[in-house]
Amino acid sequence: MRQLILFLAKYRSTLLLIVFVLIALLRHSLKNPAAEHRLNNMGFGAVAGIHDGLSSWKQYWRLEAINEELARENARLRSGGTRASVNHFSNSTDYDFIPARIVDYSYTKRNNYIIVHAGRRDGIRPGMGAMTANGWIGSVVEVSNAYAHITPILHSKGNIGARISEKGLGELHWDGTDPSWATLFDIQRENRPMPGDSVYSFTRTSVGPSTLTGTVISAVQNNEDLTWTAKVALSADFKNMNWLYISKLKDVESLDSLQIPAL
Amino acid sequence: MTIVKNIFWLVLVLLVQWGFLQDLPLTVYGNPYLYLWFFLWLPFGVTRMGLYAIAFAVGTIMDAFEQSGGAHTLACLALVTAKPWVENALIGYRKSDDSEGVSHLALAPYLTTSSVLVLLHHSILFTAENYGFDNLVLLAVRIIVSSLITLVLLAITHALFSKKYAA
Repeated sequence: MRQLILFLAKYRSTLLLIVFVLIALLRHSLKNPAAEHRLNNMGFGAVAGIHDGLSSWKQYWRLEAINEELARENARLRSGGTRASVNHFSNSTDYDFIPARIVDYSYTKRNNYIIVHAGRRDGIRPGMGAMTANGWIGSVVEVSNAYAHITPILHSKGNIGARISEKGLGELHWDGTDPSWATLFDIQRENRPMPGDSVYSFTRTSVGPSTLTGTVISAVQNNEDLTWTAKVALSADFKNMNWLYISKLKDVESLDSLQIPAL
Repeated sequence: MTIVKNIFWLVLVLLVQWGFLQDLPLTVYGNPYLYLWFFLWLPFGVTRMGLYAIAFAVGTIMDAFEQSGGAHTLACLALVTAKPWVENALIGYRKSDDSEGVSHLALAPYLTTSSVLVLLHHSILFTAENYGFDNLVLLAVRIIVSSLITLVLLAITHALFSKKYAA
């Protein structure tokens, strides 16, 4: 016993360091899965509140960009209700679109995040989709009473299914470099993606409607299985975001009742 | 009194980090982390246990704000672990009750010490954020660009707050 106490006393600082490193490693590894862990979200509401306080100050520097974005969105809405000019998702009547102000976001990291000022009290739940007027953003992973944490496409676990009209499904993946483009994998070999093709998000119905995500810039064919890999310019501007919409399926109960597992 | 002063500096550094520097549209290759100035400002006399506790606390705050798991905590712990060794190697022996830190040195020893520490911190931070060594070239660019911006900001901070010591 005496030996043990002496040992602990002698190496107390090293032991403290080991404990701290282990806690940090645990927290870090729990952050890796797409589903967030409770441990990382202790105090999320408080942190988001501080972000909110700072954002009112930071937003001042972005007023010009906000103004331009709103003017452009307004012009697009005024120019008429044709499918080509108005963004797609607002035509969907199966969803409510909850507007949410962005409190804090990042685009320079490998794993980016967005925090919005709309939470459980506004009817937001984990798993809902998020989009701006320009395109698909990501999905909600964590909700506090007043705030929500969104994992955008710009995340190592942010891959989504994506579809080119009449050319089939693929998987959209961001490779961690430039926030303005991503890569679309696994388009069938007979459907060559052409530059200018629109890419739409393709998620479960409960997440969100199929939404414009980007346009194809170029495509190369894989030598082994002859599938196409396309470089896609993301239509949402991840560097400049101020408001986004969160899609909420209206009739979620009837969908849930269909998903009861077979006995 | 010293503790109150330390906490004041910590809050100030974190406010500057989050009010001005975070998400500054300078470059897509990473982000400057000026809050490291707090570690350079800490007196040489702080014990190892104290250093670990401070690094853990500061790292946890940064991680909570940045939603980055434990990346900042790991990087800060590595920084304070290496700090006494780097100081001994580059500056030489110091009295243990010394109440001044690296930031009280003249610009040249300050910059050499801090560049080693910043490079170490940023390497661990961005590697942890990347969950490994995928996209190695991009990772290296990120580490170097961010370290350079951080060092420029650290030099400016030194000029502002350590004027009487600056060479």
